Amino acid sequence: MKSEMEIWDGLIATDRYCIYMPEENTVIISDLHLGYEGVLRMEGVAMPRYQEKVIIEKLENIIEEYDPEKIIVNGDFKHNFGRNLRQEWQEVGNVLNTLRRKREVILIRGNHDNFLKTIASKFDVRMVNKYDMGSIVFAHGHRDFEGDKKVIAHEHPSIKLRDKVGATISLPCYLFSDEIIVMPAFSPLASGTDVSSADADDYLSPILKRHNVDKFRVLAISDAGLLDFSTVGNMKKANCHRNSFR
Amino acid sequence: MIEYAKQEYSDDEIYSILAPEVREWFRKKYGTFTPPQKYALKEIHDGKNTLISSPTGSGKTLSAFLAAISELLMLAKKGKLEDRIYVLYISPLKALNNDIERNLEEPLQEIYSMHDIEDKIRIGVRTGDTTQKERQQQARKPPHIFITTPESLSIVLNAPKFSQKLREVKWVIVDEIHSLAENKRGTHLSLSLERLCHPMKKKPIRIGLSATISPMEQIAKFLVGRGRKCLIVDVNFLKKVDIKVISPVGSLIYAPASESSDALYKKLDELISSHRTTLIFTNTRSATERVVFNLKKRFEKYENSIEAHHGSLSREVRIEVEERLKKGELKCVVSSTSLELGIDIGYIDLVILLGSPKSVTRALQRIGRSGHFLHEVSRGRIVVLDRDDLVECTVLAREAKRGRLDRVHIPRNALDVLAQHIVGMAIEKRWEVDEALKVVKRAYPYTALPEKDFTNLLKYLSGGHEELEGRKIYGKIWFDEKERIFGRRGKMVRPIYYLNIGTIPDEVGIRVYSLPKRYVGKVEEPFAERLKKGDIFVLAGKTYEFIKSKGMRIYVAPRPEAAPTIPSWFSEQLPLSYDLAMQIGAFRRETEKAIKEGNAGSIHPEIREYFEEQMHFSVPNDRKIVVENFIRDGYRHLVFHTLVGRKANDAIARVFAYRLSKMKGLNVKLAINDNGFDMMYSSKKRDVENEEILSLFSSHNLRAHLKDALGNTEMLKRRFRHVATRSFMILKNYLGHEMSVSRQQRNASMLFKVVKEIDPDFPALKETYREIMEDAMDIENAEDFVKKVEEGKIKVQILRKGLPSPFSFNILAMGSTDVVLMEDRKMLVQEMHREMMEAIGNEE
Repeated sequence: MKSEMEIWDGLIATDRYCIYMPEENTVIISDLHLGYEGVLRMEGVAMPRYQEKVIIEKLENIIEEYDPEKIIVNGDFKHNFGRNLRQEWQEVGNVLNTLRRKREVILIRGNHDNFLKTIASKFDVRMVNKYDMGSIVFAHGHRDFEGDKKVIAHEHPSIKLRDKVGATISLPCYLFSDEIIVMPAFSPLASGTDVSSADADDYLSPILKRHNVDKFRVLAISDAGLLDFSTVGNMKKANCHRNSFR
Repeated sequence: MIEYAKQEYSDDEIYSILAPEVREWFRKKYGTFTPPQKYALKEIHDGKNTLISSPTGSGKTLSAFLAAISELLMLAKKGKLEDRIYVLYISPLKALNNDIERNLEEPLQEIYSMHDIEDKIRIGVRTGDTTQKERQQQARKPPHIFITTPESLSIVLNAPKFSQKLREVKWVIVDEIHSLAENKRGTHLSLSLERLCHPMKKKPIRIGLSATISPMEQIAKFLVGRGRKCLIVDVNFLKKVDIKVISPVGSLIYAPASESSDALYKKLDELISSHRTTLIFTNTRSATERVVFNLKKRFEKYENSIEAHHGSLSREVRIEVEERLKKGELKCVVSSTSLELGIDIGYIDLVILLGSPKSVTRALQRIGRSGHFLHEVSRGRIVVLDRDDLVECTVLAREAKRGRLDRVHIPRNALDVLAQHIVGMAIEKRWEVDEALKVVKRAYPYTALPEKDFTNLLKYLSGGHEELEGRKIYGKIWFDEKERIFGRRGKMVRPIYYLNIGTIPDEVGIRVYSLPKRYVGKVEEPFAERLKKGDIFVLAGKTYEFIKSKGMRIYVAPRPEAAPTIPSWFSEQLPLSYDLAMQIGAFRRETEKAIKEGNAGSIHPEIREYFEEQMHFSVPNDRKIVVENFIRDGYRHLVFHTLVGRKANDAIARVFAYRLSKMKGLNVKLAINDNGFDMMYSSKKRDVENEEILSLFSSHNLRAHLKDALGNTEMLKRRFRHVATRSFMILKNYLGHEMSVSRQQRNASMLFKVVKEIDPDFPALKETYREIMEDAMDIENAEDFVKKVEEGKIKVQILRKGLPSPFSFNILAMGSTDVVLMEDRKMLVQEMHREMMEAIGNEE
């Protein structure tokens, strides 16, 4: 079982839904979507609160494992586009407190983070639009930006596996090429783009829309650790091939 | 408490209780009363609850209405007709409601034309289609006879003003009650009726109308609720039924496929052309399409005189077909289930059942659609297409002649339906828990409801598991656990209730449009998922080519000449009933015995031949299960001949596959049909010992294992969506925003995952498992069957012949229907990964 894989020099993808950079002693996570349940309730779904507990547990494990000096959140820390829900005030606060203990926290602004600043300002953490680390630029990816090597989030990439008799299972994954990494979502609820069936215009990020994602490699997170699924293009071809026999 | 009506009253006795105007009109028009009227009218007049079951054309509607109409006319004459509802009529179909309205207006107009009565009896229909304006009119001037559906009734019950008009209803008539009792719409109605009656000083007279069904006593209890009396009028014996089984080919096994379909359509043509109007029932919508397509293709004369009628067709198309049928413009209509109920479709003189209808009750209900007058014979022909069908239908026809019906299953303690009514009750007023529980437990489906389930629901609906802040959004009611009172929370609850009530889940139907933009009908989601560009399929009797799909729609182009490339839909097959399965088991045993003793003279030669072949292996019967173990096409097959009805078989098969996969650590594929099931796994893996097979037959943990076997199946997720929307966990319509079905499903899958982790006893979760195990499957009979094996009452014989026996051919031909996933997700993922990489490797 493989739980870590160095996908770029000094940059490690892990099965804990975070990127770890040992040289910089930094951990990067993204797309927590805190307060998602509250938004679902406003849509008429009686969703109990769930994410906060799971997220804090996952974060504590990461902190224990890597003991990073710096934690970067690559966008969409919280979910609601509009005003901050009471649930968000509480949960964002609690998660920030978990992250902040003796560490530097940097929040990169995502498209959901319109009102995050009001909460973040109470906690003395930096909020930026993008973050440079050597030759690598981190940004959420809902807008295009400059940089030779980019690490983005936003897309919540996942793959759907279907066995011969039609049972399906969905796994979150990293997508990467030599220039771009797309991170998986940290939120245990948020669904995203199924890259094993998506066409170019199905992608949310303008950056992915203009790249040939078929050439990107797929690294999925499962109960059995990280699994290498070759490239998006190959997965699609294999799916087609199987469909024609059904 | 439940009694059969014994007294048949004379015409004079009945005339003497009717208003003179009604008496005169009836005498002129009919002269004499029909048998159900002779048994029922006087009793209803005397205020007795009555369940009437009688054949088509026996004057059922008037049996139910005449006493009321007569009384209303007497009031009208005296000018004493008040502005309120006297008669409440509920039927499951909107179409039926319109029929009934017509059938009541007609006699009233005839009576008015003979007599001058100033006050007129008003009849009003209220369904989902009723306009705002009509509803307002009804509120101002309420109809005296109110015709509605179960869903609309539950809305009206909560309408502050209109519900007052229902306070003194004297007669409640429930039509087609047999079709309601066995599903959640009926459960819903049973609670509505109790809620209606609870505040009334004088309880209304309940009248039920039913097709032939068994046991009548149970339907009667369902009609009246706990602790009330009911009289049963069952005159089905008066109808003569003529049933024959026909096989279109000489040999069901050796005739090549093309020959047997040629013979089938030739036979159908023969039957259709020698009758005036024929109604053909198939068991699936796809078969309906196929038959229409083939008849039109093979016989030009049918181009404009044969149509399909099923639930996937748009309403307009269906109504048009019904109208043409009534006008006598159609020679034949092919239907799946949509024409089973009593919508008026005019004169039918022959019913053909294509393939086994799987239950004696269904066979009789379908065949009962023919022969419109009581004295006319209902004529039914069952066409069989293979040897299993032949055996099954032979037994079925015998049982039908003996009048031995299958027993109905009425869902019990459905928590999702109850959740809706609790919200409805809370809107009405403040309730003490005990008082509310008493009302609920009077409804037949809830007589045995544990109090704990009720209070758990109150807790859930009030957001009791949430911290205080969450409750405001979450809670639909407030509930004071200490004081044991509950009531409504906030003003939003009423609109939520109105917009989300009902038990029929939104269909995941994919709408089909023919380009540029004409709506053709619906297909099921799994079918649409399989379609590839260029595929040709049949819908509404026409062929279309698949062009593209977008969201919940697909686009097609008509291709009249092309041959379909997708042969059939995922079938929504009818399940073989438990009772019929038992009879087939006994028939197998008797037939084998007769052949052995040389008394096979009266046995159909095809059946005899089939059994003689099977006797080289072993003939499974009601006292003996045969299990075959052999290798074929790279798979080890374990074929279980368990004839216990489809629903119980489904439960047993899933549990056994789960147990085997756990025992051997393998991925087991499963194919299930009515006569047994087949478990398959790679032949490279180790063989199964006979002891291991025998150990599967254990009643210990059967229910728990079934729950585990359901795991993360699509079925469980889909059912959870249904239950979650029914119990208002997911609002289909919230403050005017409608949630699409795909979004409902996404949210449901998410909720399912969360709720399962937080609280395994959550009402919606509990109900989902109950619905699957008790209603969709038959865990009770499954358990009973396995226990009989444990007790040695049923023997198990294991065969290792290296070849499949003839009885297993149909099971093998099924292919795999489902997979029981290895419990260990880790291994599964790795295995699927390996498969995927192999496929990629082959590609490169």
